[in-house]
Amino acid sequence: MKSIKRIGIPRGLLYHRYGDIWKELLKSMGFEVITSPGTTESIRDIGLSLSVCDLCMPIKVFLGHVNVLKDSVDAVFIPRYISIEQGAYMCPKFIGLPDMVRAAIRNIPPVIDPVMNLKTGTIMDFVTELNKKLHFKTPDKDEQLRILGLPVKRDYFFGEGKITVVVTGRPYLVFDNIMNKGAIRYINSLGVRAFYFIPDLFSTEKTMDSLPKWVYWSMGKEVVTSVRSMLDNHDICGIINLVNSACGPDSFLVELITRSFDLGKKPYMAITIDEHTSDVGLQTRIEAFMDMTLKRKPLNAWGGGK
Amino acid sequence: MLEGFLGIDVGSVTTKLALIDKNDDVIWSTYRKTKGQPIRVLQSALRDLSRALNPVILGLGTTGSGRRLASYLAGADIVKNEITAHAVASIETVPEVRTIMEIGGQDSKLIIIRDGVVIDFSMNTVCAAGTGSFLEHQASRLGLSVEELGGYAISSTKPTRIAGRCTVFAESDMVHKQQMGHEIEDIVSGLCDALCRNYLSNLARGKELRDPVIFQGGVAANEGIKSSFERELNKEIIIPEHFNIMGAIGAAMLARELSPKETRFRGFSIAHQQLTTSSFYCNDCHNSCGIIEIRDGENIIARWGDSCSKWSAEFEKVSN
Repeated sequence: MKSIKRIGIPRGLLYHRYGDIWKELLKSMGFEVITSPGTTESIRDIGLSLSVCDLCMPIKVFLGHVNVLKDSVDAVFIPRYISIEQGAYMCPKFIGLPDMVRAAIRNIPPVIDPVMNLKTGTIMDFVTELNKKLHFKTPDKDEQLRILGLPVKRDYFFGEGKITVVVTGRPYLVFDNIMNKGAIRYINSLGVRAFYFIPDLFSTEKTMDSLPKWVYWSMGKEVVTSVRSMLDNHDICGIINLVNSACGPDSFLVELITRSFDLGKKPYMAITIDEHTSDVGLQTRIEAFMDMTLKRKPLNAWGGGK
Repeated sequence: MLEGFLGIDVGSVTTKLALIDKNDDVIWSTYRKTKGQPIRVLQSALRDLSRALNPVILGLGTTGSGRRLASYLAGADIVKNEITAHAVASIETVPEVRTIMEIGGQDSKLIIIRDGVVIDFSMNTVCAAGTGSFLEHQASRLGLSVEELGGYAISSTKPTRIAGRCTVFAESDMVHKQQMGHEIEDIVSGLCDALCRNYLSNLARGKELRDPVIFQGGVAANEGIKSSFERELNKEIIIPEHFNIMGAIGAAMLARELSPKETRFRGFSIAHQQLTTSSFYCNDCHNSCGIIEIRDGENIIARWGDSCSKWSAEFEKVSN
């Protein structure tokens, strides 16, 4: 087997949450790390052409990112995230991601896929498997664990504006302009600031306890908690939930949100994004949502309205 | 000289124009098929308006999925999304309205109003099942025109149950029901019920539909759908006089509200220009934006579609 010097990380899915940590981890082990560029129309189109139709668009586009990288790296880093916390799982499509990549893309260099499963294992298991798969004989495990434990940024503001809407959804939709069809840019272009955040443990547990049963998916918990906690936040004038059309978990969660929370408190809208190439429908919905939000203002308590 | 405010609603299937006076009364209107040629249809509609009344346009509003195109072409003072435009027109027509159902060619909308303000809305998601295109397709498959469907539907006393979740399923379901020997009136009536169930389960889930309920959009011409909704909701459904041009009326009202000192309307001469559109992909970066141009002969009069404004910068931007 060719020795691995240069490792590629596809800029999709969990890269948008853990990418910086992965890069630092691999660099600390002496590897050269390259990432695919931000999603482009051509990466998306290649991804769609490599996929079977049942996959959701983020997974399809991920394949496009792997395809861009495959000829310029010795290995591709696609960790298998099964569970990142006790009592919750990732979507099955994440769990099977490395296998789907291998099945869909020909002539692919080795896929390095250490398992992250905190439901049954520990971060140490992940590190051990990573080192083994990379034939890395001289690990500084303390340093590796330190890097993996680094905090991720939790609050993000996009653009400027006198009023702010919360954007919730999977990070790989929120942080990828091609995936979200420029939704956030479009919100900004209307003079509105967008805010995305990862809710803290306390409000997550509080929200989960208020439901008939805890949400099963980690990222789903974030979305549900974000909506719930922002309904009462007076600095926020509306909530836009970006949803991917073929997302299995979200098809439940959008319904759960509608049924469980008092959405009359604040303008709320779920926007479903699919493979349409035109963004007219998306713009119509965002414009109408902002029109509604501004007109509703005096009727509601937020922002010190009359 | 006749003066008025003009609203243009370029939808996916039809193009609507409405001219209103300062009291929001409709003076002139037209409703015609877009036939995939929005520019030509718009030009011919404007020609007809100028021939019929030759009015002075005090302000122009555009709406519909082709609102930007219409604005670039005709010079709009205000460009507004369909939800807001429909709501504005409905509230003016029926001030106490609390629910607006709108079904057009490829969109369906539900708008919830309280005290004259939009407080919630929903639109169909990524699929056009249960909209006008679906009805039209099924009508043509049955050898009927879409206008005939309503009459057939209300003459049925025992609607056939049709799956309306998806156009493709509905079609195969209808074929089977025909082969089983169901009468065409019952099938058409069942189709209306299916569309109505589809609409309610997609858009109205979790929402409270309070009286008065207005039903508008091209599909409201179909009495079969209206009676399906009345049965399903057990409510009286109001169909406004101008049900199929409400978006255009709303756009005109928004222009009237704005009452610009000087309109940006380019004048009726645009109806006689030799306008052509062309498009190309800019490959200067990986985004590969699709750029669209409108030309009058050799002259480029509008260009848009780029995300970096490299191509559109020299052309006037239209605000929302």
